[in-house]
Amino acid sequence: MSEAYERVVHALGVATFAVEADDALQPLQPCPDWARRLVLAEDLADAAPLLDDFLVEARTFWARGDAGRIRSDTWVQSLAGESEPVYLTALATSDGEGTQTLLLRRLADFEEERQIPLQAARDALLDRQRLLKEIESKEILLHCIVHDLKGPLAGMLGSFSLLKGAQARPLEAERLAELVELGDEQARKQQAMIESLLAVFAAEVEELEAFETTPERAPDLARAAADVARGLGPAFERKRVTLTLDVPEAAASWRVHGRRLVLERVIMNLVENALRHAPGASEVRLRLTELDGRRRLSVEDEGPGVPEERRAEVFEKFVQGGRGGVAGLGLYFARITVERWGGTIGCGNPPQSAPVATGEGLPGACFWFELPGA
Amino acid sequence: MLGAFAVGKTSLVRRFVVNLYDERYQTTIAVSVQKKDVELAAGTVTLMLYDLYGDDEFQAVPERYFHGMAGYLLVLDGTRRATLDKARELQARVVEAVGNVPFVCALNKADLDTTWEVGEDELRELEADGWNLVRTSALSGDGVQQAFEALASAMVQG
Repeated sequence: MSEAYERVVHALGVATFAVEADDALQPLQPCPDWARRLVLAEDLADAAPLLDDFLVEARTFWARGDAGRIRSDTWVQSLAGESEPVYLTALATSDGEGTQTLLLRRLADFEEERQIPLQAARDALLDRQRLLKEIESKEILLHCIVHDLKGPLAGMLGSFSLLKGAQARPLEAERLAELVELGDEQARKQQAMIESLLAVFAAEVEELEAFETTPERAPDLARAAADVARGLGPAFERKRVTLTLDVPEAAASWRVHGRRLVLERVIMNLVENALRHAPGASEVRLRLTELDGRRRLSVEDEGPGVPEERRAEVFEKFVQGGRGGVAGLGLYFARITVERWGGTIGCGNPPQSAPVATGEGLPGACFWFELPGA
Repeated sequence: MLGAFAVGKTSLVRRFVVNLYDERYQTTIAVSVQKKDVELAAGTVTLMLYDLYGDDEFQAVPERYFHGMAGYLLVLDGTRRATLDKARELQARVVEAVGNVPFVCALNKADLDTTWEVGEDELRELEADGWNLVRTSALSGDGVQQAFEALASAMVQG
């Protein structure tokens, strides 16, 4: 056997075995050590179960004596003394005149040749399935939007209709003011819905948009919380709910990953959600804490709380808490935004929650998010 | 391990055998066999787990694997409705090829159950058809041990 031939056989990773009369396998030279050790292993079922299975099939084929070949599937396994698993395949041949062989081949480039195109094809299939699901979700969303926008519109039309009627039959000043207030309230509600929808679409479209992570440019969590509390002050007053800010002194320098205006909208969504569920004359508490460099903002209320089994669901799209939510998108928007910034969001006691777990929290729901410190 | 592609067959085996989980989806292109002992009341059962590639238009699982298997874990991904159809198809192929062989159906990705596409009604139908369903999450490990133990028990009982 020439050296050149041996080199070729070695490079191809091929080993050939002759099938003897007693069904024993005899290595034909040159035979790499790995193949000899594998095929002639004392307990082949343990050393190479897939080869052992194939040999059952091959022996049936050889016993028939027909000319031809059968091949095994490709399998992956570890070989003694080698750190990386290898891809192997086997071929059983017969010339129909009594010469039968087993070829074992180690596939050096199999992973690159097979894995890359198959991975790409299956990833593409998964993407297509996700896309179809997304299109379906958008259709449902559209239906929900139309449905939700109709409510305030009916309120506005009702107010206008009564005001129009006042030309023929004058109304008392108090009643007139009431109708204007009602129309205004409904218009604002619709405006809030549209803003929420636009924010969600913008967040989804701008999913990959950069956000600030440097301390100089990253948003100030305490300031954002204070601005939101100030903006929502009148709404809290109307409902006679007290909004308390529990912000430690150290929080004055807490900057977090994100963008200021979007961060404020996230906080606003959580606080508005708490206000919707808070009973009259109760308290909503906005609290800032820090743990291992992550800054947490939690919003607690004295409402009915969220049952444990619904806590993950409330952050999904279109899920409403049953108290006049805005198309069920506020918490969804908060989740996708916080997660995009590398944070986590939840409902109920946050993990390793110091203040809430010690029983100091309010008795209703506790929504929270954590963001990495900038 | 039978099921559509990307349902988590390899992840379940990996979680069960070495208690590890990898978040990346790496498609299986070749068959591998793992061994694991399971302790049952009746004694120790050694499972030889054939981790097959997903059955799809690119790679069809050949019938040869159905012959000689003592049982199978039929895996579906609750977040993808199509994987239930594939599971039904594979189960029917097994029955046609080798008759009734013990199996357990792993409803994988239970950690994502808020986004499941497979509904409770469909699951009840499967149970009515005699399927033993176990909710699993290769990510959290929930239900994984139970699924393989249920399969081992079913195989021992025949």
